[in-house]
Order: sequence, then C-alpha cells, then structure tokens
Amino acid sequence: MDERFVAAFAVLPDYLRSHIALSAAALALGVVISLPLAVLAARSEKVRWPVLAGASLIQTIPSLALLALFYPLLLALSTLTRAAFGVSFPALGFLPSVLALTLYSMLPILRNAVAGLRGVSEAVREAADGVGMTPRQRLYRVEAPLAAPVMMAGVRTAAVLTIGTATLATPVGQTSLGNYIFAGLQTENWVFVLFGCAAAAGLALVVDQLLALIETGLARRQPRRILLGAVALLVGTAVALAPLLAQPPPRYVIGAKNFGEQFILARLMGMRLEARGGRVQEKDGLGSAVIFRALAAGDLDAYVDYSGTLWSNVLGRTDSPPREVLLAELTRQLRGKYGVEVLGPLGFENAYALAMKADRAAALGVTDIAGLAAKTPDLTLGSDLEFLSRPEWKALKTAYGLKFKAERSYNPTFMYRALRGGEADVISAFSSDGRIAAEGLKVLADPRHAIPPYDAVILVSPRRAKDAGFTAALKPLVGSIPVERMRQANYMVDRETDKATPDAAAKWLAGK
Amino acid sequence: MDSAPIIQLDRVSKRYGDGLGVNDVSLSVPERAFVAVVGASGSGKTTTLKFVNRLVEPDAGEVRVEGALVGDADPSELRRRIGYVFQGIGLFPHMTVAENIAITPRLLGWPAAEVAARTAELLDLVALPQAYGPREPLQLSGGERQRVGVARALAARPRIVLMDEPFGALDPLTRDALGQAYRDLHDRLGLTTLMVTHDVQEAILLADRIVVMQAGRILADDTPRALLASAEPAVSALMAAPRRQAERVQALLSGEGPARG
Repeated sequence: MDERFVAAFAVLPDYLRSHIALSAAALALGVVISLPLAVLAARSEKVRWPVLAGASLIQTIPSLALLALFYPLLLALSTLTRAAFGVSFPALGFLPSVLALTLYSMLPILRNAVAGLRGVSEAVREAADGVGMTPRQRLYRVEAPLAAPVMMAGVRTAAVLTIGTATLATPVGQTSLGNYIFAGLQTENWVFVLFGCAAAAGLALVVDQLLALIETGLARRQPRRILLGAVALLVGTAVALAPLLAQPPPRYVIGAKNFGEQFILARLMGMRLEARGGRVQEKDGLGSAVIFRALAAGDLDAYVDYSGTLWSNVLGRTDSPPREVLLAELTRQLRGKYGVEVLGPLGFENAYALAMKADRAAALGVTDIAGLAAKTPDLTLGSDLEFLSRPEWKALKTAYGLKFKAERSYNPTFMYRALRGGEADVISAFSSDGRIAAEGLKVLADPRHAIPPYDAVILVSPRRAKDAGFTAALKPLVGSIPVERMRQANYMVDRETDKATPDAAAKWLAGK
Repeated sequence: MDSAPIIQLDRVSKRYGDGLGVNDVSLSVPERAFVAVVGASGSGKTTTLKFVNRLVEPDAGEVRVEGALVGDADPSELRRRIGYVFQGIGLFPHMTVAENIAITPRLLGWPAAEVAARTAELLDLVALPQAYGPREPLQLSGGERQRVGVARALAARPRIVLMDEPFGALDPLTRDALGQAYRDLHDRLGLTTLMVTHDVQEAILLADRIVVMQAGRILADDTPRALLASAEPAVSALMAAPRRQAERVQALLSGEGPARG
C-alpha cells in the first residue's frame, strides 16, 4: 500500500475521534438551544422574526470566517475574565470551534422546528385545550409529537452541515478530519485530501442514516426504530469519546502554520520533546495572524516563525535593518511586550524572493531586482495567494519601481507550473523552497535590502520560557539547520512524485 | 324552576376586531336540559358556547358553571369537568382510538386499570367494536370518528357536555342516527347539553329548547313548539323551511296527492 495511505490510516482514530467529539458537542448544543427558542418563536411573531432572521444572518457568514472570528473574540473575553476574576479559558481549539459550529447548526433546526410546530392544525390545538390540557401538556403530548418528524428532518440537515463544516476547525487549532485536507492541500498530498473528504462524508452519511431511522420511527410511531437509531448514535459517540476522556491532556502544544516546512519543523520539535519523555500535541494549519497571538496567550507552547514576518506583522515596523540588528531588537521587543522568548535562529532563512528560470534570466541579462526593474513592463509576475497583499511586495515595488505587465496569484504548485509553462516570467519564491534548486531557478538578489531578513526562529510561550527542561529540549536545534538541508527536507514533502510525509522529512533532518 | 341553573351567562359580551362578537347575552341552562343554539355564521353562537369552558374569555359579564364563576377556576381543571365535542371532530391523529378516549381521565390521573375499563365501557356506549381501540383515527369513517369524539367527551363522566357543530361534517343518514344516539345517551346519563348547530331541523329534532342568535344577540329562546308558532319575522323565516318540510311530509303520509303548496 502507498506510504501515504499508511500514514493517513495511522492518524485516523485520533482525527475521527476529535471530529466526532466536536460535531456531537456542537449539534447537541445546537439542539438544546434551538428547540426551546423554536417553541417561543412558534408561539409569538415578535420572537419568530428576529430569531429566524438572526439565524439566517449567521448562515450567510462564510463558515471559515465564522470559525476564525471566534478566536479573537474568545481571546478578548479570556483576557477580560482573567483581569476581572482571575480565570481564563483557552481561546484556541475546541471552544471556538464548538461555539461557531453550534451557531451554524441552529438555522435548519430552528426553521424546521418552527415550521413543524406551526403546522399543527388549529382544530387539533383547540381539541388539546378543550380536553383540559395545560399549555405545557399540549406542547409535550400533542404539538411536539406531531411536529417531531419535521423537527427531526431539521436536525438531520444540521448534522450533515456540522460534520462537513467541522473540517474547517483545523485552522483554529482543533484537530478534525480537516487536518487531512489542510495538510494535504499545502503539501500537495492529494491522497490526504481525498482521504479527509471521504472520511468526513462517510461519517456524515452514517450519522444521517441513523437520524433518518429516528425520523421515520417518529413519523410512523415505531418506538423500536427510534430506540435503535438513538442507541447506535449514543454508543458510537461514547466509543469515540471514551479514549479521549481517559487520555490526559497533552503536556506540550506545538503550533505550525499552513505549509510543508512548518509541518516538518513542528514534528522535529515534537520529536525532541518526546525524546525527553514529554507528551506532544501538534496544532497544524494555523493562520499567520492567529498563531503568534495563540503563543502569547499560552494556547501554544512553541512554534517556528520568521524574523521579518514578526518584524512587520507583529511589531508593525516598515524599516529593514541588517539581520543581526533586527534579530536582537526583535528578541528584546517580543520579550518586553509579550513575554515571548525568541529561543534563537535555526540557521536558515525563508525569505520572500523573486526568482526566474536560470536560462531566461541569463538571456535577459538579469542578475538582481534592480536589473529586473527595466524589463518588467514586458514580464508577468506569478505570486502565491498572499504575496501581493503583503507589505514586502509594497516595499519591493517602491524600492525598485517594479511595474509588471500582469500580476497573477496561484496556489504554490500551480505557480511553479506557470513558470515552467511560460505563463509567468518571474515568481515570488521562498528562499528555503526545495523547488528552487530542483527546477534550476535563479533567485534575484535584493541589493537595496527592500525585503527584511527572514531568519527562521523558535518562539517559546511566556510560560514555557521559564521551563528549563522545555527550552533545553529545543535549544540544540538553534543553528543546526543550514538552508540546503531545509530545502532538501522541504523538497521531500513538496515534490510531485514520491512524496514523503512531514514526519519522514523531520526524521531525515534529525538524523544527520 | 326546579333547581338552580347549571350553566348561567349573565350579560356577557365579547368584541372581535372584525366587528363580529357577542353583545350582552344572558342565558341560563337548567340541569339535564338539552339546549341548541342556532344562527348563521358569525352570529356569535360558537363564541357563546366557548365562554362556558373558557376557550373564549368575555370582555364583560359573568359566566357561572355549577354556581361558581368560571373566571375563578383553573381553565384546564374546568375543561376536564366539561365534555367537549368538536367541530371537525378534533381527534389527535398521533394517538389510537383508545388513547384519544382515555385522554381526559389520564390528565386527571386516574389509575391505569380504571382508565382501561372506562375506555372499554365507552366503546360499548357509543356502539363501536372493542377491536377499534388500538386503531388510528384515520382508519375510521367520519361517523365512527365522531362516535369516538363523543366517547372522549364523556370519558371523565362530566355532568355537562358542550357540542360545537358536532355532526355538521357527516352525511344526512349518519347524522340523524348519531344525533338520536346521542340524545339517548343524554337522557340515560342525565347530562346537560349545550349544542351549537346551523341546522335548525337538527335542533328541532334533538333539543328541548332552542336559542336563536343573530349578529351577536339572542333573538329568541324558547321550546321548538313555541318557536315554530312564532310571529317574529326573523324567527319565522328561520323556521319556515323545517315547517314546510314537516307539512309536506305530513301531507304525503296522510295520502294527499302530489299537489305542491
């Protein structure tokens, strides 16, 4: 069997378990909140309108954005409660994911429950009053049983929606089947992407069928079907959750952004901590903006970032001092402002750089960006998805007066294909990317130092900065990875054939 | 008057947004009486009926049942003491026939064995086979369903039964049979019945007394015999069709020719 299948199956129990825990919690919470709300909404027009409009509005927010919004919201809340009551709660991972998914699940449940309750005929409602039922007895004995099949159909829709959307919890640090998809997309591991999709779809199908059993049981008034469906759902959830409850929480949490190099380095740090007897959880695929704040807040213990990124994005600086000066200033400021410790540079840079095919650069006589500037009106720039909106691009444009004929954004793999196929003449590459050497590219020098240095540095959370055992485990990595080795490790993961897993690449890096 | 009225409405009014309603209605029903309320749609007859078990609350006036003001009673407890047969039958579609009949005794917390015995007894009383108990209402014919409706109303042994167009949706044969069967039960069980109907003939055949309503007011309140003889134009118009029908039947039975009147 393909090595990638083996790797995918190895993490399936863990991912599936987290996915089930997350979806089940969100759906249960959604039902518990929505049903009483639906009862109120069915009775009163004054409640119905705002409730349904609110739920519809939530549904229009893109799901990824909704999940992402809960992180800063909870972080601010957590800071407030810490200041007011001395208690804080994690703003990353399970909590924001559950809250966002709960909100997301509410519309189908609400809408169907309201429709079901309002669909009970006036004659039957009056009969319930007439035989002497109290309003509560009327709800439980007449309205709810008659509306139950329609309500259940709403719960089914919500369940499928929640299980699908739960894959988007990965970027806010909650392990889910989305880990396959996000990691797979970034490392071009299509086996992982398909595996993640298939697993999520399979889970959704099974849950939907069990809920369908309950629904038809309710409609046909067959208690056996209802019982069978409910028991299967409960047992499935319990089996999935049992090891999760027994398992003590991980001691160390290592973060990674959403590309191959980050996955490899997170694994490398994890391996060293495990070697010292620590238990490690990795949170992969975190967004650039989220990851530093998560570390500062203590939701992460360590991750690798790049000095130039921190310089411009966290400290908001636009100048570009020499690398030693920048590193020293960065270390001082992060410690002073956030208590975050820069443990040290790993030994390589991963800078944004402009690259061309070597033969094309030679033909045009271009060796650096200053030389490129005169030729740009005839050339097309291919970039990754975020480069054109980053401050580095603005700095480059201003410093050299770059004016390309056209600028196009691609997913990294397609960016390299565009360069190969001649659709792009110049691309925004990463200097540690293994494909630079493999594809024979020329990296253009930046004589005016428009782009700040991007030393890869290990960042440690305020809490772990004081943990001598923790820093001792990671310290040996400082200065240990020259750029050639990082490129090679990256290429193992990024190449289009014979891909290695980040784990294998990390082992290769460690085993020099 | 041999006893205090069991149902008494004293100058009761109810105004609805559309101008319809009930205006200053007084009505008293003695125990064991069978009173029919007739009138056109919108005349206020159903509203008047619903004052009795508080399905409608009056804006003004007093309603008493068994001597006590209904406004002082808990609405659910009041309704459990009064049988109610609904327009459009109103059986609960998700319950079996037996469960429908047993609903009020269950709400009253009767022991299960007593509820079961009473359900069986009621099926006999309304002349339905015992095998109908576990069936669903939708499996029954219209007439059978309304028999269940009557059984449900009588389940908790009420002294008063309210009926809102009880047989309106049935075919004429079933309607007549069921009406007569109910009248027998009324006499046998010593019930007090207040029935709303738009069918004057039905009222004449079943009731001891007929209340005629028009535009929210009581126009006449008397025995069928007196109303048939009434000179009041509106009442006379209402009685014209049944009177003509009776005369025609009478003429046919006494052997007169096919000449028309």
